[in-house]
Amino acid sequence: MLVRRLWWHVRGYVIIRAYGRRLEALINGAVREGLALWDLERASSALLLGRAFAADYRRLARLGRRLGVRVDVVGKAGLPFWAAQARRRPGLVLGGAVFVGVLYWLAQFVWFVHVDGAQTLPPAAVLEAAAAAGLRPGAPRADVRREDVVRSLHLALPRLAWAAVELRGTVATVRVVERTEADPALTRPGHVVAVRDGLVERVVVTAGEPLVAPGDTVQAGMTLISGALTPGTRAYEERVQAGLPPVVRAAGSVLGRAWYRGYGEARPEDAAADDPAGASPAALTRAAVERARRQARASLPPEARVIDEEVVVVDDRGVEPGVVRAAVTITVLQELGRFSPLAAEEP
Amino acid sequence: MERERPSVAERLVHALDLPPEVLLNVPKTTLIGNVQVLVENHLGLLQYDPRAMRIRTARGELVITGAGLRIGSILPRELVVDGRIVHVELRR
Repeated sequence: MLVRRLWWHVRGYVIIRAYGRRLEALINGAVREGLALWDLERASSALLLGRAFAADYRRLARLGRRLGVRVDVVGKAGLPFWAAQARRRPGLVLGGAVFVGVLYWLAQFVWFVHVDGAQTLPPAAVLEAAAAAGLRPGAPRADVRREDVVRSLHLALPRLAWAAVELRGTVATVRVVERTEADPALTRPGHVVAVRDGLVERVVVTAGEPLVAPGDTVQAGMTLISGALTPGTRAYEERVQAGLPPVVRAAGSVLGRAWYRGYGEARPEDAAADDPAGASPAALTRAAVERARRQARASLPPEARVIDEEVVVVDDRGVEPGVVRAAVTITVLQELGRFSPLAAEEP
Repeated sequence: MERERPSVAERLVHALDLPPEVLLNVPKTTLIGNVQVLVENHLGLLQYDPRAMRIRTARGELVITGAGLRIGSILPRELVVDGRIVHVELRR
């Protein structure tokens, strides 16, 4: 059907109006003579609208005359008529051709350069590096060598992990992925030092050299695991062989006992007036111990495991009658070491 | 009742299982929904107006009634009728 419609257009057709009584006879006669008709519509009993090939019109009109039917042309369509019209208006045709030509010519250039994926890098820097390799708005598409652009991007921007250029029509998209830099605070060398006075119970070293052993007592600030390697050790030699400074980021665990103290006191006059039992010696003692314990626990690190608690109660009636004082000492097992970076001395 | 004796062509069609319209010049009418009728092997129009169309065929008169009937195209063997088809009838 589509092919047939195309054929009508290519050959050119006329829209006809047939006026008369013997319209069926006109149609039958046309068919018998091999004249194609289509889109016929009976507008009224004496009027028929339809289409026929332009080349057949004369024969159709002659047939109509024989049958007493007037066949008029009310419209023309198809390629031959368009061509005739175009010949009368060469300027329009030329304009159309120029338009298509210019459009085609303009499509040969890159007009837009987009940057995709720049997170910390300024897109302008990416564009600049791309422009240095010839990828800029106005550059002919054929002149853009993607490998060169990618190479230029990598040279200009060492922080790129990956780069690619995608050309789609007149739009070039520079896709980049930035290298994820390790946080320098996590790689800087240093020692593991004691956070608190304590008694070492267990030492596990994953990097560096241990300076303490189970049974040692340590003071807050002391180095427990050293990041500075001793000359002659295997780790030291490996670092030197690799051309690296013999200083590492010490890591490991130093578990030890530490002590936390708290003090509390309770006075009879603190007890609530409507609660006479609150002023009894036993209640005061409970309150004092509770305060001391709370104070001791306040500074306990969260991961500490309590292994012992010692309570000392002093009821010093001679000095201050009725006042109860208590001291609580909590013994815990906790991580004593904490990483401490060496003073920054990066170039 | 007298039965018509089948012609040679009819018997040939039957024996060889051929499509009848090819040999017998009988009309083949295809109705597409209620929007189009395709008549092959027609022998011309007897009457055409937007409500009814009578088509001559080798096996009688094919009557199509409906509304807004148009002739999509007409060729020596093939006739396409468009419109809202209500009724298709073969009259001997």
